Amino acid sequence: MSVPVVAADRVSKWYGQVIGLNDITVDVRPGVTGLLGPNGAGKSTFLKLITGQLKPSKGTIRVLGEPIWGNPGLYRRLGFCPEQDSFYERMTGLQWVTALVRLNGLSDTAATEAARQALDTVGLLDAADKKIGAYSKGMRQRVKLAQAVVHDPDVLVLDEPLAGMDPIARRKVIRLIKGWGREGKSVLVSSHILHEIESMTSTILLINNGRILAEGNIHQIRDLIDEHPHTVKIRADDPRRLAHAFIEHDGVRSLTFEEGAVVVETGKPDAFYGQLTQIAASGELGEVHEVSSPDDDLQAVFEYLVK
Amino acid sequence: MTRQTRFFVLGASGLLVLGLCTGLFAYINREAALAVAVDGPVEFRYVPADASVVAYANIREVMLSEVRERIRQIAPDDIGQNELQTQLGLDIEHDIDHVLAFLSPGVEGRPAGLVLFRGRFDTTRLEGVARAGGATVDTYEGKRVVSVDSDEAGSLAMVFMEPGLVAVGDLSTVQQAIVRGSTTSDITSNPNMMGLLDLVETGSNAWAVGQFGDLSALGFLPDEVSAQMPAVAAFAVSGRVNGGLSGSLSIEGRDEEAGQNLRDVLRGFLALAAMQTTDRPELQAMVDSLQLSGAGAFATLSFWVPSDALDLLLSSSDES
Amino acid sequence: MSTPTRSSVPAATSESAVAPAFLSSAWRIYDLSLGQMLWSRRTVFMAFVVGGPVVVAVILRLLVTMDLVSGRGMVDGRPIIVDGPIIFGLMIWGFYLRLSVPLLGVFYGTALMADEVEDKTITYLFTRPVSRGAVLFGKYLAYLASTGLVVLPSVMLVFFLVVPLLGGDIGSNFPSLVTDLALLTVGLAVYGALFALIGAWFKRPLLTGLVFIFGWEPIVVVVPGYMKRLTVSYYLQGLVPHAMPQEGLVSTILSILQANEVLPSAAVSVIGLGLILVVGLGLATWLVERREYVLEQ
Repeated sequence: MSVPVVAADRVSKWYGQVIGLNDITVDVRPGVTGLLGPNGAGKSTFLKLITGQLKPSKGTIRVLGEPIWGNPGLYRRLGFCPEQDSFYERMTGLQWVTALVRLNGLSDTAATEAARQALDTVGLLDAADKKIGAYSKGMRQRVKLAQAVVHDPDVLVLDEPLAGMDPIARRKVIRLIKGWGREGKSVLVSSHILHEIESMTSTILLINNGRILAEGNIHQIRDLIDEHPHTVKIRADDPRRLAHAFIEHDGVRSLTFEEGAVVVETGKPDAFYGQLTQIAASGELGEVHEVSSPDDDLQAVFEYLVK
Repeated sequence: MTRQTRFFVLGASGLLVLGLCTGLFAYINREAALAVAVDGPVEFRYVPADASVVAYANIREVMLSEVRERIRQIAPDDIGQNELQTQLGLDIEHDIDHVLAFLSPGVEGRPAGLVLFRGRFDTTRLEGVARAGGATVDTYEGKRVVSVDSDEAGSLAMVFMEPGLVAVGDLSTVQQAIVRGSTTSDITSNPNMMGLLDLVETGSNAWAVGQFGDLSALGFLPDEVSAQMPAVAAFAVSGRVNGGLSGSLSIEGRDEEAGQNLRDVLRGFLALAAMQTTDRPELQAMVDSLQLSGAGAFATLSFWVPSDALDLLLSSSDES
Repeated sequence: MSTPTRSSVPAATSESAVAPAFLSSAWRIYDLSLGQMLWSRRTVFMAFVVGGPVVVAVILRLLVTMDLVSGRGMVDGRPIIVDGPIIFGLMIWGFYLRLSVPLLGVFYGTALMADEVEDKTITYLFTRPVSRGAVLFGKYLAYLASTGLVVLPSVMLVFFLVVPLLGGDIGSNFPSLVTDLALLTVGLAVYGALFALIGAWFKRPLLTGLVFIFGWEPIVVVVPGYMKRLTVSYYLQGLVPHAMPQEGLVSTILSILQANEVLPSAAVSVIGLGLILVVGLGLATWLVERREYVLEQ
């Protein structure tokens, strides 16, 4: 069997008295792997250990066969898109991605060219010379993706890459991630939304309370998910017109309004997301700015799983 | 690096380089600038308003000049210099920057004079040597004054005016200078003398200015000499020692008629000099460079001896 | 957005196969960080710290121009003469060496890594093929450049505004300007290295740094004994007499200090400052290489 992309052997991580990860042993194989778990489950801790930002309190983590902690040379083959929405706000997208890829040893010219290509890949070339501070949430997510892929890494680690994106950008990024998987790259992508993960891969790691609960094919837990309602919050120009369109959808169980947004509870998330993407693409009901999903529903699934 | 940052870095670096270049330029030309500054060197604060003659020499610049180097080649034995170095630890070439001296009317027909040396001095050693020579040390207005009695010249005194500045002169003049240093009444308040400074040529590293009317008041000029110069009111002589020698002498007559007479006399002197140097090529160049000018009450004689003519002059004097 | 084919993925090509060396990495970090430091939230503070002396110099110049200041006076019945170079020397001592340099050192030095951690941008630097030590060193270079590029021009302006006053001469004081600039650069470098270490070591580095420069240093320097050797200002003071004009008040102040044998020799100062610089940066690098930075969610 080939060397796993990521090999965690009895890894634990404590933050003082708080346990972040608890005795995890798992191998991540090439292709796209989803890391699914509610907020606070330990996803980010696991990804930070994989990307060498944290050192395991116990156990070992190897990436591409090498220990990652204190091994900066390995970052030539690793790209990371963090969860946090943090940037050098005064720089333009092009300046930022160029500056970061220069740290990979590229010359100025090569770095600029690679940055342009990366921004083009994530659909941000038109906004390359705009300051990041002026980017929308979706654009900020995409520029983070651009810096992760700009040096053409073998392994991509993406922490909640779709958070806050509008449906169209979400669909395109999902397509990108699947494409990278097909190209032979290893992609580890985290989310607390099963539907997102499912749209990218069928290989998942279920994590909760710092433990890996399950690993394997997504279909095994698919039915469980369907028994629990899925909540989607949509920020849009005209939430009321959107709500009117959703009422006719047979999976929708309830609708509530918040300032500039509508919150939908649906029993058929796949069909609902399909309809939402169509509406956003047509633009007939105004612009859809952001789609997010609280993890209460997933939490319920996990509570059921650990019973 | 963003464009804004690049502009800032370039701007700040540019400011830094500009400042350093300006400072360096001022440093290279520092003494020349001092010599012709309207306000004069800072030591003017010790010169009395009624001074009759004020003279300045930039010792350091002269010592570093090519002329000095040529003279050294001809006369390499700096006996006096060595003695100073041995006894006082004073290297004239490096330790003295410039000298300012003045004469002013004194009391009982004796002129008062003071020489101010700016440079780096081993004050302890100077004081020690003076003590060994019988000098006494007193404090006057917070300054240490080293004085020695002399039958011929009265009491001679040396005072450390401030770090890097030593004044030597008769005791009463030294004491007056100490007091003057803390007041605002000095030579800069004398418009006539400051006007004479304007006649000093730019870049001069040695100059002297004086008022003849006041010279007679000094009392040391013989009456015969004084009688020969009734028409002269003031003079300013300045020179620059570098690769060659250049300078000018400006004389102000008491009136326009006196000015015309002065120019006639000088013209005659030039003609005589030209005649007498026809068979002295080493002097010919210098005489040829003498230029007479002036209008009204002024007569100005300027000269310039290029370095090659100076070589000729020095080598002929060496042979003789 | 292009189709995700192989060609759509940016190819950093073979250039990325070779990770940059330490100095090259540090230089690239410097290039990235310089702008962040210059235009950070501390910019106003830095402008205030280095702009203050310039404003004072301008005011002084105006007062002298208007004959409101003569530079001559009496202290304890003794006449004193204060000219431009003396004022400049006092400003270098009082404003820059004792205030601006330590303050900039503490505010910027302790924040070398802290800013990136607080802004949560450290992740982008730590997931690139550069050592953490190079990140710290590059940011230290950026600190040195950003503070130097504001402090030194400020000194330059003050020099040209103040030195010509009251009979002072720019040309003859130029060597002292060059020495002062060098001294301030050394001060920024050494304080920066020390506070980089404090920033990497302590949980509240700014507070620790402020206590050091406003509590520890002023007290210990005047206390007889060996404790003063554990300060930066002690060694900087040892270089000051060689940089300051040897005149008037400055000379008096320094002679008082020297009389109490407070000042070390120039050689001891250079060695002491060099040690602080090397040990400070070395230890800071060692700590940063080993420390985990947990970003608050």
